[in-house]
Amino acid sequence: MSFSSNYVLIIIESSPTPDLEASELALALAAFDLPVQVLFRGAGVFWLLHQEERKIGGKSASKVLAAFPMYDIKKTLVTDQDIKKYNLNINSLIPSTSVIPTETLASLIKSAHHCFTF
Amino acid sequence: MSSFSLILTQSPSSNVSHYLALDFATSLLTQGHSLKRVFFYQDAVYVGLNGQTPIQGQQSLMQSWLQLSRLHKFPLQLCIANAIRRGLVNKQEQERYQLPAQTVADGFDLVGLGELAEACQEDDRVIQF
Repeated sequence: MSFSSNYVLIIIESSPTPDLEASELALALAAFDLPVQVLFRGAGVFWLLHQEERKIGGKSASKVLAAFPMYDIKKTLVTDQDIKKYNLNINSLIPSTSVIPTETLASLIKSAHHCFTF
Repeated sequence: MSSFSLILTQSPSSNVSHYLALDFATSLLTQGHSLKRVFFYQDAVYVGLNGQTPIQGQQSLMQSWLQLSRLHKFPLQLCIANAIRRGLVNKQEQERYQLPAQTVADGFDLVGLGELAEACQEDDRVIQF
């Protein structure tokens, strides 16, 4: 699998938190017409399961992540290794999830113009 | 020579990332590179909290950033949404939200994520600490 270059890669490794600041960063950069790729790995993959809001009156992570395609973040990436490790069913993850082979991870990171990890 | 921006995301009081970033910034400026901005996101915004008094003999991270910023003329930018969420407000936001006090130290700006987008578009390197 090859990746186009010059995108901003946001890697989310932290398990779901009450605030959605990493996802908000992805949306904001995309809103400024930057090409953005988002990879969920490690404990971060749990963001991709259905999430209720964690604060009273707060935003649901699932709704925020579901908005990614509207900002031209067409796919949210997760590795096949993490799918297997956490015994996840791809059908239970948000619809825009795309599984990539773990061996393409280095290429994904190398092709990014900038990379931020949360 | 290259242009850099730095983004910090971690609390100044619970890890060493601000010290590493300060060393990195000093080093790149010494070598003649340009530093366009230092952008503070998530808990890193706490570095701009005024009224911080470090334990006697300890370095004040806030003062260290301000000193370097004044010397080399680069802006210290706090993400406005993250800052307000944590109670860090300048005069304008204090009045807008009718809060009891201005809590952002002079020398730190409250800015939107557009600044970080600009960094990603224009700078050679955006380094996260």
